[in-house]
This record gives sequence, structure tokens and C-alpha cells, in this order.
Amino acid sequence: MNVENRPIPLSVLVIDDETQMQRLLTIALEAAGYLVTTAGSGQDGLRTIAYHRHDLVILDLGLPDISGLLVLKQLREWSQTPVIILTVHDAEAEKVEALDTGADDYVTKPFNTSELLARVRASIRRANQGQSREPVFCQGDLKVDLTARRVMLQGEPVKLTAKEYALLRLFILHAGKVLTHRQILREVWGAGHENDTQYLRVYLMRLREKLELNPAAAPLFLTEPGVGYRLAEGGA
Amino acid sequence: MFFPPRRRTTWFEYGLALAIFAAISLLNLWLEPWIGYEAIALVYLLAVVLLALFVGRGPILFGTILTAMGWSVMFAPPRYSFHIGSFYDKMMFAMYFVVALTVAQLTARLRAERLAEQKSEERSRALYLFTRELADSAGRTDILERVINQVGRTFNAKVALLLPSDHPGGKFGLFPKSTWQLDDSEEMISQACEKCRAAGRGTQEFPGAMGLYVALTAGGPAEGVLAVCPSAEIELNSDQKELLENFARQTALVLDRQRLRDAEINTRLLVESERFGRTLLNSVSHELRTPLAAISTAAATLRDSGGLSPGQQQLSNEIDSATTRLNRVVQSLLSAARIQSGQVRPNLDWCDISDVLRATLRGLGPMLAKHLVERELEPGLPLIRADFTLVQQALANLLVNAATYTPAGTKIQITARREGTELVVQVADNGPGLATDQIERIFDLFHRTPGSKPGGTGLGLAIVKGFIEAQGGRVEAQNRPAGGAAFSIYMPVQEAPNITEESA
Repeated sequence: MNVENRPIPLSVLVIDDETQMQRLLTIALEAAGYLVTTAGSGQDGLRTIAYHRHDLVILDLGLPDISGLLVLKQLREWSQTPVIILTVHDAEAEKVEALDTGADDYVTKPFNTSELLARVRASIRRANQGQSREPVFCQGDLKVDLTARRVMLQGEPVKLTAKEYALLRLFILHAGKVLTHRQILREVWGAGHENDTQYLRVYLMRLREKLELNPAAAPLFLTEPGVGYRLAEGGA
Repeated sequence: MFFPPRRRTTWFEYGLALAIFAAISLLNLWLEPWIGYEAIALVYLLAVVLLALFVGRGPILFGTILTAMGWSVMFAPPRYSFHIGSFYDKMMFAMYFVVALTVAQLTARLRAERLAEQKSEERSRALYLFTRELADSAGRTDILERVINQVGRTFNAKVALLLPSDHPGGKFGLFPKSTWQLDDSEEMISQACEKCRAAGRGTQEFPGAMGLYVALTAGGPAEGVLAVCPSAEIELNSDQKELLENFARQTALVLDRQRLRDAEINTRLLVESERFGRTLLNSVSHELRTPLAAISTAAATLRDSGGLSPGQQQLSNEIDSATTRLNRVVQSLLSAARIQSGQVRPNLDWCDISDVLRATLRGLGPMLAKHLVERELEPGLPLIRADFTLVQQALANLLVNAATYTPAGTKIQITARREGTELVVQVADNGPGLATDQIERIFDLFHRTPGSKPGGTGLGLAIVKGFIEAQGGRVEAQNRPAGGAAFSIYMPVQEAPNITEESA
């Protein structure tokens, strides 16, 4: 978390055609200790990533030359650098498409700076830890041992069905990351069920009933309207 | 001008025949000593043929008899008597008669054909002029004015056009630029004309009328009636009637074409204005949100940078809350514009209303902090087919509305239950309630209850209605018996596909 103390600062590339947003993002990110590079167009951005390694890309979807989605698509052909997209309200379809294309997260304009920084931190951390995960996930009252397939709430074991557990496990493996309906359905129910949102709604309702017992506590499963769900993560 | 050439009176033609006969007879008396009486017959024959070029059948026959008699009396021996002496001369007399009549007939037929040709040429020319006149017209009114001018000039008549009134089922009304002001009986005839295609002078229907009435039709139902009133001495013959019908058909075709063109232009305008609206919406949305994002980012960065005095800290918080509020207004305006321009395209999918409600409350954050929000959801609510974000925004608007118009510390109750084939979500408050005369109009765009406290754009409830109705639902406002207002969203419940345990 203490980015400031690292010997080599993490580098972030901002691809946005609005110079004002470039400047502000630069100020906010530099204040948090990141090294910031900016690009004003999609082509420019792709060139910059090709020549210099970056730890994260912040990509505005509304670019003047090629669409942000296309930049993302091309980038994902040869790079796994985490990408956070900047988008506007009402553009759920665009968000979903970007996430399905391989974006790691999204922030809706106008955004809250601390929210953006939290997303940046989380995305970089997830990218660095890769597939290796703590075998035990703890969040609030919930404790899940992935190796023993054991779910404990307030110290009491919780009985989950196989599908419920598969869903929970998927969320834990991607804790803090937004997962689109399509991604969840494909992982848990298979490629043939990508549009069967009703499964997801019903199973999520059941998981919430079993795991979010205390209404006053911070929720575990966060709904991303029109996009998908995200599992709350301690730090984020 | 299309007039059949004014018929010379028959008497004039008879006179002409007589005069030619007299002139040729004198010529022949002079010629006779040189050419002999047989050849004289040929000179007479020539005169008859020439006469046939100019006059009708009666005068030709008259001329033939005159010349034959003249020859037999004045030239054939014995001269100056009707009696013809030799058999040869008698035969010559008979032959002359036959040849003269035959030639005259042929010539007359030729002439009649030429006349007919001339007439049809005149008719085509009149029609051509008429069509050309209409071809470069600009718009329906211009077409109609040109029709009136052109028909008036061609028939040298006063012209009236009767057109269907705008409301369906209405009778034909007089086109204001008509040069003939119809009286009641004339209007009646023209109404009748709609069915019988042609009426008035020179037709089967109302032959005693002043004018001639022709329906404007190109085969389909009549688009109106063209009425001409020529001066009384002009005879309306079948040619004129036919020409007028041609004009009417042509007018109907041009009007029809104009209507198609108008419809096409309208469609194109509609498409263009829709595209323009969409572009405007997108660019306004971008142009407003980008600076807003910049302001809020700047304020937040300033606040987080530390080292601000408490006063400065408070100022940056003010900027933050002002941008949040402005952002909501921009959001509302854009939503209202989307509804107004019919561009709300719901992305329907299965939604869990408790999930929607949860997201709504989380999204509103501190806006409801001053009120006690109670949730009561009937257990086992079905999934609904809806656009998650649209329902969320509708609910958010209802909640913000309740929070804005009720005193701090009062309760806002959210209930969801199933009623038959509908899922009802109700947001009820404990505020002053709604004035009964306002309830009906409360969902109208920009409607603001008179005397309500300042703040609010008058858009919130209109957006609720627009978004919910776009998804096939409905909204309702009422006062609660215990006091306070209640707004309900009704969404249709469709049976969700069966979800078997551990399905798939």
C-alpha cells in the first residue's frame, strides 16, 4: 500500500483526449506516488505501451481516433497490463463490453478521486499476485478455506450447495474485481448459459440470505448496476 | 387557349359556294370559245374540289348541284335550257355528278381528319402546357394555384377547387384562391361529383348547372373537385369535357406525387432531427460531464493533499457537494431529453427487486441520511423482466423526492409486494402529502406543485414515469390514509424460466 516507499515508483499510463482530465489525473496520481505518462489518442497510447512497460493503464473509452474498446482489444492481444476504463453514466453496455474484452475495472465520470485510487491500487495488486492466492479468505464475519472447501460465518459452518459454493469461490478468486453477468455465468454455469441472468439473480439472492446475516454490516456482494457484481474486499 | 375554331355559319358556306359558282361560271363563259364546252366541266370540277377543302358537306353538295346545273344550262347544247341533247352529254352530266360528289366527299373527309388532328394536337398541347406548368411547382398550394390559373386560361373560365377538409370525414371545402366562388347549390353538385367523376353542364348529372365539375382522381378516391364555369355563350363539347378530365387526372397525379414527396421529406427530417438530437445529447452530455469530472477531481485532490485549514477543507467539501448536485441535474436533464426524444431503449433482463433496491440505496449514499428508511419486502418475490439501471434510477428519484419534500427525521417506507400479475414497489413518506388536484399532473414534465419549496427541477417524477413506462410498467401517486404521499411502481410479472436446483 505504501507506494511512496517503493524504490521504483509504479508507472501509470493515462490515455485520454481531454487535456484537463490528463492534467488532473496526473496531479492526483502523482500525489499518490505514481509515475504518470499521458497519451492523447488511442494510437499514441498503444505506441507508448509497446515501447515502455507500465503497471496500469487508465483508458478513456471516448477517444477521438479509434474507440477505447478497440485500443483495449488490440492491447489485450499482447499485453496483460491491468486496464481501468473511464466511462460515463448510462453507458452500461459499453462498460460490460469493455470488461468482457479484458478491462480490469471501470470508473464512471465524474468520479471520486479516492475511489479511483482504490481501484488503481487493487488492480495493480491483483495483477501482481497473479494466480497465487491465500488459501483462506477472510472478510468481516466470513471465513472461507478454499483448500478445505469450508465456509464459516461468525465461527459457525455454513452449508452451501455445490453451485452456491462455486459462485462464492469465483467471487473470492476475483475479490474486489467487478465480474460481469456473462463472465460469472460462463464460469459457474458454462458457456451455454451466458444469458441466463435469472440463475445468477436467484443464486446471489440465496448467497446473500446465507452470508449477509447482519443488515447493519457492510455488504459482502456489491451490485454493479447493469454490469455485474463485485465481492467487497477489505482494503478496497 | 383551347377553343374549337369558331364554326362559320352554314349560310356563309352556302353563300361561298354560290359565289364561287358565279365566279367560275363567268370565267367559263369567257373561256368557252377557246376550250369547248366539254372542258368547261373540268374547270367546274376543279372548283368543286377546291370548295371541298373549305366548306362542309351540305355546301359541297349544293356547289355540285349548282355547277352541274350550270354546265347543263349554260354550256351543254342546247344552251340555256335544262335539256341536254346528245346521249354523250347526258352521260357526261351523270359522270360529272358522280365524280364531283366522290371527289368532294374524299376531300371533305381529308379535311375532317385534318381538323380532328388539329384539335387533338391542340388538346395535347394544352395538356402539355398544363403538365409543364405543374412540373416545376413548389409545394401543394403552389400546385393548386397553378391549376386554377392554367385551367382558367385554357377554358377562359372561372375556376374553383374543392378540397377535403383536414379533419377526416369532413366535406370538401373551397380552396381559398379559387376564382369562382361557388354558391350552395353549386357546392352540392360538387359534393355529388365526388362519386360520379363528372357532373354539371354537358353531362348526365345536373346538366342544367352553370359549370362543369370533374373529380380529381387518378383512379383512386377523389382528392377533390375541379369546377369550371365558362362564360354562358361558350359551348362545352365533349372534347372540352375530356380535356378537363385529363387536367383533373393530371392534377390528381401531381398532388399524389407531391404528397409522397412531402412524406419522404418528413421522414428524412424526422430521421435527421432524431440523429441531431442524439448527437446533441451525446455532445452535451460529454461537454457537461467532463468539466464536472474535472471540478470534482480537482476538489477531491485538493482535499486529499492535506495541509488545508479547516475553512479550506470545508470549501472543498462545498465544491464536492455542489458538483454532485449539479451532476444529478445534468443526469436528470439528459434522462428527460432521452424520454422526450423517444430514445429510452430498455435493456430487459431478469432482475431481483431486492438487488435493485440495495443498489439504489447504496448509490444514494448520504442523500437519505436525514431520514429513517424502512424496507419491507414480501418474501419470495418473483424476478421481474426489467432494465436494472432504469428501475434503479426511477427508485432513486422517488427516494430523493421523498427526502426533499418531507421534514428531516421522518420515515420513508419502501415496500415491495406482488399483486396479481404485477410487482408493486411503493415509496411512502410521512410528509404533508399531495394536494388532491395535483395528483393527476404530478408525473408531467416540468410540473411543479404550486407553493412547493424551492429546489428540484420538476423532472424527477416525469423521469420515473418515462423510464417505468418504457419497460411496460406503470406508476401511480396517491395520498396515504394515515398521511403522507405514496408513489407506486407497477411492473408486470412474467413467469421466470424454471430454475431447477443446481441447474445446468
